[in-house]
Amino acid sequence: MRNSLKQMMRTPVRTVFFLVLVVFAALLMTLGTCVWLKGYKTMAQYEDRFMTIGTVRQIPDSFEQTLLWNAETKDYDVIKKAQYSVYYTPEDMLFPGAEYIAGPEQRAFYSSYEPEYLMLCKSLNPSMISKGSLIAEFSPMEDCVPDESVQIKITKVIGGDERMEGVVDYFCDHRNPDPAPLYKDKTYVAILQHGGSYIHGSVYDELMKSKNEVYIGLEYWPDSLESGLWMPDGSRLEESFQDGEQIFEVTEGFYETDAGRRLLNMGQLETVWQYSQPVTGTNRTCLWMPFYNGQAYICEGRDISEEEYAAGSKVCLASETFMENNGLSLGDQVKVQLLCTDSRVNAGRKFWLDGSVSFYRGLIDTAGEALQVFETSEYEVVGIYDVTISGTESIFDPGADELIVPMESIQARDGKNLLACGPMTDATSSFQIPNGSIDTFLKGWAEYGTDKLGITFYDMGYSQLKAGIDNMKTISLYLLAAGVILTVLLLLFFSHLFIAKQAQRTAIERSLGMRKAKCRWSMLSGFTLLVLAGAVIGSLAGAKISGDVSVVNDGQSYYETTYTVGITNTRNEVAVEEAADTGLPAVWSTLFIVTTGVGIAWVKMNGSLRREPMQLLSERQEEN
Amino acid sequence: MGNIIEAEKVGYLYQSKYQKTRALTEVSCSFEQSKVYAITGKSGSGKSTFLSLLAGLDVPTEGKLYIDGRDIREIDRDNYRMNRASVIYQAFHLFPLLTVLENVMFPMQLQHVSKKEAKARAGEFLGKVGLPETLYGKMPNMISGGEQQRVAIARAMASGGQILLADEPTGNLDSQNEKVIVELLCKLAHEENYAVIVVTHNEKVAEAADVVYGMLDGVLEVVRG
Amino acid sequence: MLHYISYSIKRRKIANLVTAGIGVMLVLLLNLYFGSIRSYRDQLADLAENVPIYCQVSNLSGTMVNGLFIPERIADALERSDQVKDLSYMTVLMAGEGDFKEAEYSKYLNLHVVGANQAEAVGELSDDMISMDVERVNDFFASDRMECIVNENVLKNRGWKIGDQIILKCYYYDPASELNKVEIHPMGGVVEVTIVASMEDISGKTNAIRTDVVIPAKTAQNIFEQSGLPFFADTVTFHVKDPLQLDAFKMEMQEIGLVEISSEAMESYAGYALMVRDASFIANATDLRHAIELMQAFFPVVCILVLLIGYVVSYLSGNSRREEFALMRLQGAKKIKVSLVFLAEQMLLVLAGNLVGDVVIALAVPAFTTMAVVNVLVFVAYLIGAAAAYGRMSRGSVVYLLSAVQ
Repeated sequence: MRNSLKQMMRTPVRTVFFLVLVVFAALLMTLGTCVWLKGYKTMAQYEDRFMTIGTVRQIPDSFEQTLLWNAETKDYDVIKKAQYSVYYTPEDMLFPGAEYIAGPEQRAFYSSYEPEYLMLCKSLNPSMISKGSLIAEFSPMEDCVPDESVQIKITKVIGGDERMEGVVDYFCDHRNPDPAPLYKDKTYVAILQHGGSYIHGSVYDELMKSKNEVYIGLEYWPDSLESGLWMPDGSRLEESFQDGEQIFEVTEGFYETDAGRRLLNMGQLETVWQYSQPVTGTNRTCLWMPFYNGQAYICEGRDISEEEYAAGSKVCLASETFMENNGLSLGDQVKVQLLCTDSRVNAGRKFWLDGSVSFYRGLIDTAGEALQVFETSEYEVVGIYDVTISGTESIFDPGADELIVPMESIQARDGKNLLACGPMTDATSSFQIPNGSIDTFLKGWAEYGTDKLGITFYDMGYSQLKAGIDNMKTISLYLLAAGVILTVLLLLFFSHLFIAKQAQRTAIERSLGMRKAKCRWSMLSGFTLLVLAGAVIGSLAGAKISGDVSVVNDGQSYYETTYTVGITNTRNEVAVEEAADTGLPAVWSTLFIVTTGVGIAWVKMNGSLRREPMQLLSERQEEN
Repeated sequence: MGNIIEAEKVGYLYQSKYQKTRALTEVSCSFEQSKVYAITGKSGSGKSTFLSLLAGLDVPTEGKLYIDGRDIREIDRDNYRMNRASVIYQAFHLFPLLTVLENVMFPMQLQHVSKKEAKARAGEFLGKVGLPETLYGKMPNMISGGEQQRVAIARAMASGGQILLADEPTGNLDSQNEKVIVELLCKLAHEENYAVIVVTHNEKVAEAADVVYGMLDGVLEVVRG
Repeated sequence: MLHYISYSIKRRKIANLVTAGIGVMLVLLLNLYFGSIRSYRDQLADLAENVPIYCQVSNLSGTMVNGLFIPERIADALERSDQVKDLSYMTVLMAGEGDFKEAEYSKYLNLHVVGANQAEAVGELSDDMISMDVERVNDFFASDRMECIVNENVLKNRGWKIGDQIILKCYYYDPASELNKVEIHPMGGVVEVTIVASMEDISGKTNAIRTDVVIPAKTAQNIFEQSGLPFFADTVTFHVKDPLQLDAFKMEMQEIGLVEISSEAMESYAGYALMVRDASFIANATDLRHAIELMQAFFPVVCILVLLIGYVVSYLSGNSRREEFALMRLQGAKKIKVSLVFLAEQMLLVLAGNLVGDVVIALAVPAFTTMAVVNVLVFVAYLIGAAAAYGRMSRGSVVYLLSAVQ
């Protein structure tokens, strides 16, 4: 070793140049690896932002036409209703070779009834009289036949906003082609719903002549008294009650009759919608379309983790408005009391973002008893999300105050108190597959799937960008490979010059009777020392430079976020891993260079040692 | 016959960063054609330095050195080496990448002699130094030391310069080969009119010379005139 | 002397291969480095092209994007802006057939008239739902002719035919309306429009508003103008023309007078806030630009390193030929000539290396300007290295060089 060092010190310029060469090789290797690693990570992050989601809808077998009387047109409306022989389930989408990252799932949502909470509908209109739905006693202002809007006076509210007592409003037995007459001296009771038609008829025309504004109010329709419960197969538990009779005259003892009791029981839950919030169970947040399309985004806290989803942990994502309205903050518990289930539509179709609620009718069982809460629990809020108005894809709108929970956390997932059920729809059914695998999926689906299920894919443009992404990956790999090969060549070059210069020494040492092993050690020790020193210096410098450059680069924002809705979601975790990003490559580079360098030298050395010393001595001029 | 090389009080100082070392002191002598000169002396006596000056590889730091009557400082020394003087060394110094024949052709090609002619003449020279034709295509490291030195002499002849400077030409050779080389050098001087100047500490080589100088600590004196 | 080069190139196989090989790899490395940056840039451009940024004018609180009163100056400025593409806007009027008495409006006022600048501006309507070929549809929406497209149900119910002229008495929605109590007022006079096509009924579709009659947006604007009323758009949507110029786009939107939504703002129908759905673009583009900047930040280091490696390799490679250099000098060859010969030989090797590198790169990621720049860089690095080595040798004496060899 000492000899080796002495030898090197005698030619300091060359030694320094050799050292510099190894330093450069190590620097190149470390820098290259660092750049590659960072680039690779950024690219992985970039690619991770893309998600390929498929939404599923069942295509109806046929459409059934039913005729419904329309009192305004005095004709039957033709109502088309989709018919399904059977509801397909997510299990029908499992086919050989199907590669799902998540799902497929069909999300039901549950209405949680908790009077303690202030829901969006109430917070937006705290004092507004809720007149959309009532169970009330009333009398017509005149004797009349309610085949057009007639004026009635609400005399007693059995269920609903009591401030409606005494109000005169319009009523029409709109869907009844042959309504019974109403008498002004009698009291009637019915479920009064704003059914969707404007006030119409001669009374109204007369009234409006005197005003110069378009105020077209809605008229009340009566509703039937049967239970609103459904079977999961899509059939109603109770087809009709008392032949669909809807308007009852209030007579002595009426409330002891079946119809009377039903009305009273329904009345108990008539205002339940004001204190209800939807709870949706899913298996992955991005499967819930508002999150996928960026309409909803987590503004505080975190997403539900994969583990929590799998374990069915009692954690949830809650809307910012709900949290604010109820003085809740991240980490608080939200009380959930599930009252009914809807597997037909998404929560956004019932609890609208503008605060209106299209709640269910018939909140009684087939025995006429009011529905009971079937599951009570508390969920920890781990993330708070904000919602923006969608504009284009409002079918995916989230529900007001909607809670997102792991599907597995809901015990009664099998449709307890099912108030609506239906086939899979784009807004309720989705799955995630790996980016770029749409074609493969569709190929498999064409073979094993059913044409009764339509699938729409959303991939955020990944398919169009895939070629470019692949190109980035390939070039980045080539770059790494070129760096490694160059490093190896540099070491080869180095050892070639070094060993060639030392060949004569080896020959002399051998001719003096030194053993091969000692010769090898004598030569390799110096070489190894030089390589090691160069590799360490180069790697450290590489790590330092790459660390410094990264610091300059990280956390920079490139775009104005004025007007931006949603969240830019630029992750900051990268900076945390910085040390590992530069440290590891440095260690690996050092190891690689030392082992490769010594390996090459060893091979060359063995070549020299295999030959006779005298032969070597006579060939000392040989350079090639 | 006139002197082709004349040294007048030639001195040489090696200058390193820290010190000056005197290698030659007031060396005066002259060299004629058709003679073999031997400069003997111990290692470090300055004989190789003197030879380098004679080869035009450096110029004296003191005194004058005339080549064909012209001060060596004034002539194109590269040209001098190309056309007038050749050097052979103990270590042969053949071009490692050229074959025996190509090595001999090299000086002629440098002088723009056509490849064909160079090849023919190289063969002649190699014949003169007694190298069998079978070796012409070999690389220098494939032939023996004696053969290499003969190639070096042939290469020196190829430049056509008639001044042959040899630095310990037999230092790496056995006695058999030594004899051959010495005879060759003498033959060059006496038959081909070369001025052969040999730096050596080998007595046998000195014995064969026509004139012997001795060098001691940079001072030259005539041993045998 | 040139013959010497050919012998040398032929006979120093391994050394030459390694030297040229390093040249090849340097060329490849730099080209791939540039190529990598370019691939990121391409991806950014692809992203901008394939993931369009959708914008909607909303009310200040950001709760409504339809049914707004969006001032004409905003719609016009957006139409003129070269930062905006696919501008889609529409306005809604109420109308009754014929010149009825205002007092009888409740009886007659039953037509929903939509003025739109393209089919897509009308909720769920699309070109193929209109009974005209696409070219004529586009021409219709771009015009300010007194023409209209009528809902097929309305056509049937009213007994109208394509080609008929209909008289409409229009009412406008009062921009001073209070929330939840929209007032409408007559625009004064009647307009006569020709039915040029029918359209499928879109009512019942999720995002559709009831649409009986569609007129070109410019026609609607003219009707407002003729009545001396300010025009308001109901809905305005568009895309950012060049997402890569996002900041410039936003600057222009500020100049136009569009403001950011604010959750604390009062609810209103006034539409002068802007929602830009660029969160995902920003996140993705930030990643890409981060990667580009990262690569660019390393660029000087990588360049210097490549140059230095070229230099050192060339220097050491040149340096290993001192004996040949000295021998040539001994033979009387001029310093400059010897240097040039060796330099030429080395440069020939580098050029060969460059060429091989170029061929590989041309097959993998062709970009000829980059290739040229890289070739020059690597060549110059080698040249300087070799020149330094031979320069140093030239300065040294032949005796010294020979003795150093020994």
